[in-house]
Amino acid sequence: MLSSSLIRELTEIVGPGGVIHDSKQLAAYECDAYVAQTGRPAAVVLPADTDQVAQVVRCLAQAGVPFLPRGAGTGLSGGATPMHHEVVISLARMDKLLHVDFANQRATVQPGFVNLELTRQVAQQGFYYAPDPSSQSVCTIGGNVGENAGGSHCLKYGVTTNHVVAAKVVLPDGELVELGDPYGDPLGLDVLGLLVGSEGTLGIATEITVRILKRPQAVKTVMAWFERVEDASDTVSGIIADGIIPAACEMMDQLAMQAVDKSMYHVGYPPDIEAVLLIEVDGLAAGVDDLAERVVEVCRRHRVRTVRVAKDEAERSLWWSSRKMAFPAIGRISPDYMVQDGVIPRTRLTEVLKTIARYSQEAGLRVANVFHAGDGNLHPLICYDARIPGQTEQAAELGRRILELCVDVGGSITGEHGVGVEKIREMEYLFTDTELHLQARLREAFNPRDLCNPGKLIPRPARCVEVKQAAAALASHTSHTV
Amino acid sequence: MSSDEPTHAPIAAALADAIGEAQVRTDAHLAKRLSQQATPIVVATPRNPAAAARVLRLAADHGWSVLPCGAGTHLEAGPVLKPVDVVIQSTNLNQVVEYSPADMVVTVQSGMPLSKLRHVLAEHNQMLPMDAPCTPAATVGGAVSAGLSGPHRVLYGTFRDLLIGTRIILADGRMVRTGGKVVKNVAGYDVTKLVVGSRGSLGFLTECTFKLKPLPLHRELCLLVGKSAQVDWVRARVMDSPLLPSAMEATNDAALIQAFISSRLGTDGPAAEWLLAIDCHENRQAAAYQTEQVLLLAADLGMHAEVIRGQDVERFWARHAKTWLQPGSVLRVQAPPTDMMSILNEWTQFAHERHVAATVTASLPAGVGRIGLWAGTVDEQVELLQELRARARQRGAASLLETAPKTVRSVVPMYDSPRLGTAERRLQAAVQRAFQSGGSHFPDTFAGGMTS
Amino acid sequence: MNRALSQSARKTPAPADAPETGAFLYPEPPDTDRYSACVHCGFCLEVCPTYQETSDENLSPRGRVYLIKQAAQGLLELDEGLENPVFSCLDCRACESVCPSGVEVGALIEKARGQFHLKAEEEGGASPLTRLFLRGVFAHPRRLRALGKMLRLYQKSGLRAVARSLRLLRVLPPHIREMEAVLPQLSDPPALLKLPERIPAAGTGAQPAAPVTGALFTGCVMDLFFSDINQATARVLTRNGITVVVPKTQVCCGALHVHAGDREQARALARQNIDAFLASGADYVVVNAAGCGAALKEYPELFSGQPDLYAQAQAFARRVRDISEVLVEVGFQPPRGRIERTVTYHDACHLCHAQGIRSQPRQLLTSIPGLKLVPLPDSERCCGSAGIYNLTHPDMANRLLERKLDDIPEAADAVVMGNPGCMLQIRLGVQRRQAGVDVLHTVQLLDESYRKEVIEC
Repeated sequence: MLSSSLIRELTEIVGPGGVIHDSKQLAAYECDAYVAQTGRPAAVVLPADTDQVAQVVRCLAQAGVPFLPRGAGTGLSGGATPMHHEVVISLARMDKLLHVDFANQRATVQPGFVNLELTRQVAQQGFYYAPDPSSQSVCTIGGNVGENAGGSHCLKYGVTTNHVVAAKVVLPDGELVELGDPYGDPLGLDVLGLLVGSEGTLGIATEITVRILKRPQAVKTVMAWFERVEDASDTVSGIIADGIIPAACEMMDQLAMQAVDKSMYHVGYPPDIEAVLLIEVDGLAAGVDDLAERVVEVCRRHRVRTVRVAKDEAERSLWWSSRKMAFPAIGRISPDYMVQDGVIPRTRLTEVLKTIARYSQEAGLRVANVFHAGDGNLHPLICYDARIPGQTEQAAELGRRILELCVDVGGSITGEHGVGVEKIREMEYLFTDTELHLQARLREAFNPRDLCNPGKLIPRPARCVEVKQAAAALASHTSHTV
Repeated sequence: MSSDEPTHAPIAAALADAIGEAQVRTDAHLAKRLSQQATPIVVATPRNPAAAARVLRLAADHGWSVLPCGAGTHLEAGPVLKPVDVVIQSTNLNQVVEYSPADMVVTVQSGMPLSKLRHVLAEHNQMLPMDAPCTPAATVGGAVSAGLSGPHRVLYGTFRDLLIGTRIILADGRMVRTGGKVVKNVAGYDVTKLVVGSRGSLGFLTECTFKLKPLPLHRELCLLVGKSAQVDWVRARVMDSPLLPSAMEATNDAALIQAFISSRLGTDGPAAEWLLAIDCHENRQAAAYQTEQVLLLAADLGMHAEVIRGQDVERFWARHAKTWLQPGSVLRVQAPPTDMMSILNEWTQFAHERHVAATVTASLPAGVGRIGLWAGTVDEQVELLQELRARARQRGAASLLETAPKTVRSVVPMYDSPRLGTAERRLQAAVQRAFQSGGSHFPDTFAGGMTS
Repeated sequence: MNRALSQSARKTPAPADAPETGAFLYPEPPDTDRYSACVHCGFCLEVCPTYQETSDENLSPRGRVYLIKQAAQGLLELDEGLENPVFSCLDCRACESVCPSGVEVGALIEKARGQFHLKAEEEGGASPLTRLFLRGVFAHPRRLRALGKMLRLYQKSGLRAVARSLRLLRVLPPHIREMEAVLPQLSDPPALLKLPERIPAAGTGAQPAAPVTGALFTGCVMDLFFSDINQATARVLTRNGITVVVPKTQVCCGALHVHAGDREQARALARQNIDAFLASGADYVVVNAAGCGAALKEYPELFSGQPDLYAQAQAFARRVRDISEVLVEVGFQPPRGRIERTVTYHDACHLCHAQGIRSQPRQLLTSIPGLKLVPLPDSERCCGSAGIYNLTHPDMANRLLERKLDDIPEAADAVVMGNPGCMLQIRLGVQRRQAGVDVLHTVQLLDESYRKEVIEC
């Protein structure tokens, strides 16, 4: 509980409707879209502008109360989960589009502005905002910055960090800083680049300037059904080897297809195919037909059963909904699921999927696979039932095995969902103590009192490690120079 | 620095002991290039990362000041340094570590020359799309550290978008990896971003992993010649169209125009002031459409236009780069694309009034422009640069002194921006300190920018 | 306390088939399977009108379902922490339209409200809904002047029973006078009384392959305020070869009771309607009010524990059709009378979200010669009417009404919809703004076009 004087102070800053502190109203803020771990916040504050955020942060910092920023709460790794009674600073009311400069292809938004809304607002003039996480109809650009969100089309167009050019940021002590430059390169060290993907541990972005792109003149979407996962994987490599960078290249396996076909986004996948690929090429109309034909040709070379190009926008949109709604659609075949976010070199796809299937059998838990095949970003969805004692732990253990597998083949534990609280342990598998120590020091540079989203992104004991590390370094160093 | 000023001889001896005599030399010329110091610099060229780590550990131990460096092709940049004891050079770390063409990812040691990497990748019809003007010796790590970029950043972005992982040896000799070898990765802080343009201030870069792109199957470049306003109008129209220029470079480089346009037009041709090069890396059909559209725009405005294809396109860009490799001072401006042509005009006029030979070029959609001053005394250049910078600032644009003789750099600060505030600079310094913990002996390669 | 993964306190471990009860101690608790289907993805947030207005997770579908789940697990009490989220829901079902997991939020909310209702009954106090009414209302006696008129309205209609059960009549929400001012004249006697019990299909036009009978559900609000629309509905049906029957023993659909949590009363009404309509032997139960249609289709929900009644309710529900739905299904005769107007179409929540009816009304409208249909931005967002929501939550309802009015395209001279609640609400807004826009039911335009062709021929 916060002291009543602190609540009064916060209320003075954001107004009476902007502070939720009644313990009965805080349960809804216990977690984001990652539900396996929860924590009750001390309060929720809903500021309306940069100045209010700065005042709120200053007020909390002075009181030594930890806090964390939250967008729409669609994060999949618990980045916005208050594990230490933090005050949740919800940016949901900061949902304005502040400025659009079409001629120079930049837009400035508040952090609570919804991703897809930006595309909607600039579509009339032929523009769009490229990063497109599956939750883009809900997730906020501030949240995207925090997580360095990706999406289906980042294969060709890059992830959030490639589109954020400048930001106003409230630092953990309440100071306001402007980072980045809207054009050209960062001047000096790219601090903005460090902030993007920092999961709210380095500060709170309150105004974000992003690139907006001209919509491609033409888009062709190809759907290909394969009897064997291997053929689908080989097709992905084959397309790339052909010198084509598709705008997107997505894969789903049998279980995922079954789940999503039960939702309102029913495509009607044949029950006996093992994998479906959704491949999109875009560009100038004159060149896109040729690209699509080449993609179809590569599919044919790899024993595709059926391959076709979307006949109209409605079909294309259905196919995409089928893909984008696949995660939550798992709710139709399993009471609970955990989604993993491992990344592997594209060429290891077949082998890794086989191993995942084996792990799945060993654990006795079903795993559906939905992923960005083009960039090797897997989303194994581990189905479980939390009501069965022990199954949550089994699912978590299976997830851990899968992530370690990704690391073992030269990949990473997370491609776009972030570390949050979920993958803290796997960070220790991926990084050495020295590396974690460096990251901890970077956090300290911004957030010396560790009040801003404590315990997220990097394991906390890194500071203890620091001591051990220093001793070890000293020892080896001495032995060398003697 | 340790209190007792070390001389180069004992440093060289200690380093030779640690990494082998053949990998250590002293260089008096380099000392003059880098700083005002009289004593020669000891240059260490370790043959493997472990040896590099030993160099840095020794330096930390003895309090030597160390400057990480590649082939040394871009040293006329940044503030003039305080005396440097040791330059640790990556040129002996020049191997491909891992190249998986099917993954379109390559990991190379930092000392590999960009020109060599280009050949390696071309064998698999791939490329690292970074086309900044460089000499053949320029290394991968040096280019990353210097944050170089070229005209094709319009389509491909910069190292910021292409570099996905590194290995760095910190000031205390410990090795860290940043990022990884997969194209998407958000595990931990994006430390890799900091490395781009870090100018050796964070550690000694030993390895870089890049995302690659397929070599364009077709090359087709439109060259439009005309007045500044015409060029700007074409820029606006193309940016507001679905066309996909891989580069859209405007320049008043007379030699380039002479070589590619005037020589063909003969003396009766129009007076060519500005050249706008619109490149296309799309497939043949798309390129044909784009060319058609660009030619229509040119015809509308009565601009002279030519189309070149295949190898000629390479030759064009090579000739474009050549101008920017000559010695001189290069000031970069970062501004909205809509302001760029007027800034370049103003700059050109200023240079003309001061009788300083100058060229300008700009990657228009990226909002990056450059002026190169190729003549004039130090005082003339300094005065002109300060004037150019002031004009840019009046328009809210940031500017960066990319290259200049030491004498100029000792007077003109590296950065100028109405937006780069003290808070951001303080954060940058704090980041640097986070890296240098326990070592902290890299000279401050940002000093000019950080303190002005 | 944090409940970490290892403690697995997210769900109290229990046999997978045993229903959790927790704070829900009364019959018909929210179904475990329904809230378990929610994976907390948050896709529902952006379409939820109350979340859009408040940005408060407590007032979002995901938040509400989470709280219901928490209560079911015994982690929350059945108190005001849950009450406000559950009762502030419009029950507009917009969330259901976007939910990839297929969570039936409406059913969860209704059952949770049932728990509060039963608790209040047990405690002998006022129901939460009634308490909401009480807030700040009794303190303003002048507002009670409207009571008389409202009472007369209520007395004449089937709404009386509803209002009584909700103790509505004791209080009136602050804006009732405004509302009352725009109520249509009650000159027309209710269609339920006026229409004959059986109206044969008209001889003109194409006949369906086999004779079709449609039993008209006349509704309360519809028949009280818009009995002409019921008349029009009957005309349009017969015009299309459908024999209309009007079961005279039909009663209120019970939607408002379900929304308020009074499931017992709703069940009684449902049983009477099921009997009345099944006895009529009609092929279809035809409804022109979206809210009633959705409630009728969901009757089986009320009888989940009673197999015989459940089967009957299902047999009944299978026959229920919205008027637009039945016309398209049977194959309606395109009207020939020209109507030179530009109109826009508002999707009533209980048509689009609860019944998935979106294209049929538009098909009817665009079949009318001369009629131009322009899109209404965000047409599926609730107008704030939501049953009696505009009476219980006037502030939120007003905000949503204002947004709805802002969205009406300038070109439109009428807003068309398929629900009387929306019609009253939007009419209120139009009147207030003095916007020159008619508020019409889809059937009214279709009927006008059919009638014109008779005149024109």
